[in-house]
Amino acid sequence: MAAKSLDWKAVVKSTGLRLVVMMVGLYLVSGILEPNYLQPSHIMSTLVLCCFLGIICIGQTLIILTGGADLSVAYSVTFSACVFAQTTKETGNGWIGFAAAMLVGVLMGLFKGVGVAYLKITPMVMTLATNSILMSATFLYTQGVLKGESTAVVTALAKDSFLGIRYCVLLWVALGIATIFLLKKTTFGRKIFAVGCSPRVTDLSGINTQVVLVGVYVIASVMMAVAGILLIGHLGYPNYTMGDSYQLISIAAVVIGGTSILGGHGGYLGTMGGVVIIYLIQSILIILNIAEAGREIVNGAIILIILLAYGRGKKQSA
Amino acid sequence: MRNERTKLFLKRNAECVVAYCVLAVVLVLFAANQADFFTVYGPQSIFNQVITLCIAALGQTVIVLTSGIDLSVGNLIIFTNCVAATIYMPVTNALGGSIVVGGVATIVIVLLVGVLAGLFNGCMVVYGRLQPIVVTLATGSIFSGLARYVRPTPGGDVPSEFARFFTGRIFDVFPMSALILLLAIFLIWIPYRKSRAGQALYAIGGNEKAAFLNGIKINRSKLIAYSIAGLCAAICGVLLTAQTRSGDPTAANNFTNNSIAAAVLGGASLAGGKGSYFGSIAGAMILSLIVGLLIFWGISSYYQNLVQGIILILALSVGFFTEFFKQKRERAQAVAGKEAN
Repeated sequence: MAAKSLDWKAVVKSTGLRLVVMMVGLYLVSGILEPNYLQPSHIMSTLVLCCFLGIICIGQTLIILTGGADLSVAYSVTFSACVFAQTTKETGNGWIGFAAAMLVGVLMGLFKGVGVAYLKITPMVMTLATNSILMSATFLYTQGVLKGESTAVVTALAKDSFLGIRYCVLLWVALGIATIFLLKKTTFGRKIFAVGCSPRVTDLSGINTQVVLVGVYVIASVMMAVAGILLIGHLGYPNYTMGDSYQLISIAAVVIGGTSILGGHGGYLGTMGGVVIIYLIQSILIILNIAEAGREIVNGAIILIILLAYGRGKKQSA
Repeated sequence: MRNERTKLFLKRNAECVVAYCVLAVVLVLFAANQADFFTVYGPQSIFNQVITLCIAALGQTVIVLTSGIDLSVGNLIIFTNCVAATIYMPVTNALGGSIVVGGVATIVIVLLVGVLAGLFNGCMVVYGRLQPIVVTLATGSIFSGLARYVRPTPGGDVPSEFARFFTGRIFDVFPMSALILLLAIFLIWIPYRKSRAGQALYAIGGNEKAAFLNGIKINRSKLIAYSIAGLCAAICGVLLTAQTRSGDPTAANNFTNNSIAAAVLGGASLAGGKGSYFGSIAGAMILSLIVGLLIFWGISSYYQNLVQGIILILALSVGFFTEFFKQKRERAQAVAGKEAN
């Protein structure tokens, strides 16, 4: 009996319950403000918006778990999307475009990963510098004129449904399950947590931390490339600012989902909750008809409030 | 003895010395390309190019020293810029129409806004006990929203005298921007560095727990650090207002990236506790002047971010390569020592 009551305490204190309560609460608020939002079709369109951020956040979660943070989300997404669209237009074959974008994803990941793992550059600075480089790369590659558009397959992925569920949402769920499996059930996943807890101890335990880090950055960048391609399907055409808004909210979603920004603790299931919460907040702001300026302010404020509620560090003590 | 001290100085400030060497090369290239480099216009144009980033880098250096990072500085600069461009004429009219009085009042208000914004960041880090990176990421979004709120469209009304004062020359010789940089060094950085709070920066960045156990007032020191960072962003916002004579909430700005890059190029460690504003100045000058060089050489502006990114990565890898060769040498020496035995 005593053990059971202890369990309840843990459940009440757990991030999972907080996330569920927040999600249900926000959903009800949006439903009260705008009854249409309670309809299944609207739930699906919210989930579609979630899936792009969700797939980006697979990468962001893995990187934050290793104790870093990716500040190159904006142009990792935009550059791979531009490569996909332009290569597809030039070769006339969507699969070649897809392969090119995946290749770009792998190369971006190798670049960031080698900088972090071998050159020992702080992840935030390495990714910040990479973002600058990718920004230039995007403009140089397109020469300032965006070319290409979505292909039939990619548009279908983003717009068509299977049993009432959009393909891209299914893809997100599939990738999400794969990520959770990777983190919980594979040695590679356990190594990611180990690196995040203490790179030094992990290294001394005979684990090649550098390979783990490069692997994480490659997976993350490939996920960002996938999200870029899906975004093309959603928007129809590439544009230079398509990735910008994801920079802040990708880190926010991961942290709201209970992953420690210091690394080593957390997981992807929480991040999925964080992603949904972010978009529920957005939809409430849209119902309230708040302009861009207000939305940015409220976004920042809400992230701070959520973090203050449960992302706080320990008090300094002797 | 003297030689020993020089060696020690070079060893302790290796990155900083390298940064100044690179800066010297950049300046030589500038002199070779700019026709009026050796006239009074040369220094004026150079200091006008570098001053905003130099000031932004001061704030970033202070935060980096505490082992934090300020990702909101770019948006805070834009916000203060928008505030300055918007309130200048209304304040002037309210105070009797003199643009000098109006200008002073505007600057005071904007600096106050900056300090409060910085203090807000500081409170979130100190009392909220949140990580600086997530705090400043979130407040950056807030500042950006506030900038859009103050100035929904680019524009504003700034008298040309204000612009001329901040970008011109004193007694027709000495560039105003250079004077501002000197003021930043001698009125902000040096007094702060010599003060108890400034000394505490290095202790906190070095080892926060040890600093706490030694009775250093960590909370107060951090609050002061973040307020100074806010102040610097506001000064930068004022200078930007003088340079552009308008406020643009949607302006793409590289201040966040480049201020971090400047601090790191100048030898600051993101782990905290290591670095100095003198290094950051060299870093900031290199990063801003490189852009000028690209323009001189007729290279497409698309390359600008690429070059800045690569410089940053190279600067950070220097530490890795020196360490790598040092270890190799030591290992070779150890092997040689064993064989001798």
